[in-house]
Amino acid sequence: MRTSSQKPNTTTYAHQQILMDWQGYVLESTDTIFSTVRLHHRPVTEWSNFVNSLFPVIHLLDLSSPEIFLPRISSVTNFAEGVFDCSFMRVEWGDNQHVLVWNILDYSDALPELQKAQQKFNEMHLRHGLWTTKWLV
Amino acid sequence: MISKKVILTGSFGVGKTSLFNQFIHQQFSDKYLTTIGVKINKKQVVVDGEDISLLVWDVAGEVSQDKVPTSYFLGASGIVYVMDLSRPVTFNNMQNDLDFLKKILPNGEIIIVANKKDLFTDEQIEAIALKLPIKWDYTTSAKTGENVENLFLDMGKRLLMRNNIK
Repeated sequence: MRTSSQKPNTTTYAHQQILMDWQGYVLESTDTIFSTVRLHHRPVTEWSNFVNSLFPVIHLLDLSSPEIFLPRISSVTNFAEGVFDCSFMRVEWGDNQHVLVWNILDYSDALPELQKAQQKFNEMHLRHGLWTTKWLV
Repeated sequence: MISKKVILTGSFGVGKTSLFNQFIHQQFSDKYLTTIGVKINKKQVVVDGEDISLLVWDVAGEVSQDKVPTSYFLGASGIVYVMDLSRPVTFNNMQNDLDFLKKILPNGEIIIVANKKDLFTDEQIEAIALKLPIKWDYTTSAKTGENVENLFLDMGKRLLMRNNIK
């Protein structure tokens, strides 16, 4: 039997789904991670460097394209920092209208643990690398 | 104004984030803090009187480039591949890494950078260069800022040239 001291990891994951038109304007959003209320009049390329740098690729998606998946993005928008997995796909919505779906999974709560583990691993390798191989100059 | 995506990649601890911070914020910290996933920021540069916006992706270091998620390279126009002059181990996989990057971005610009110049004399750097089969394009110091702006300006120039030829 599990006791209170053996509670499972309680990291919370939030998921947000945003529907965009082909110009990158938000049509609908669940606003679970960040609010898009004040962003509807501006294309996403203006407030997300992340989407801006991918937009030419997202634009080429068709209904049969597999979704594009990008793990561990630190800055999904120019104001939301953390760690997120993102995916993009094209779907049919309403009366034969095609829209872009942007899925965001937020697991920023796990960031300190991820950071700690990766830092430890990298530092160990850095020490080892420096010790074993030096330039003879 | 045109925008271009540029990937900053290489092994861990070579100074990619330091180059990123030096270029974007003109800041440097001696403390090593590993990058998780990818950080993205934008900077506008002027090349020969023409504006270009560089969307820089600072990717978490990996021992070999085939471990970097390939989706990170989608839509990229250029790659800055960074090595650490103080750690020969970061040069070991250079040929394989570059082959892989050329395959994944066949029409992209690739600039090779040897970082941490501030730890060596010019003579020592020349001696290191003689030992390597591949030449690097820029010797930089994220700490002092030497050549950091130049390397990104060069990337901007190359991308603008390609864009204008199209």
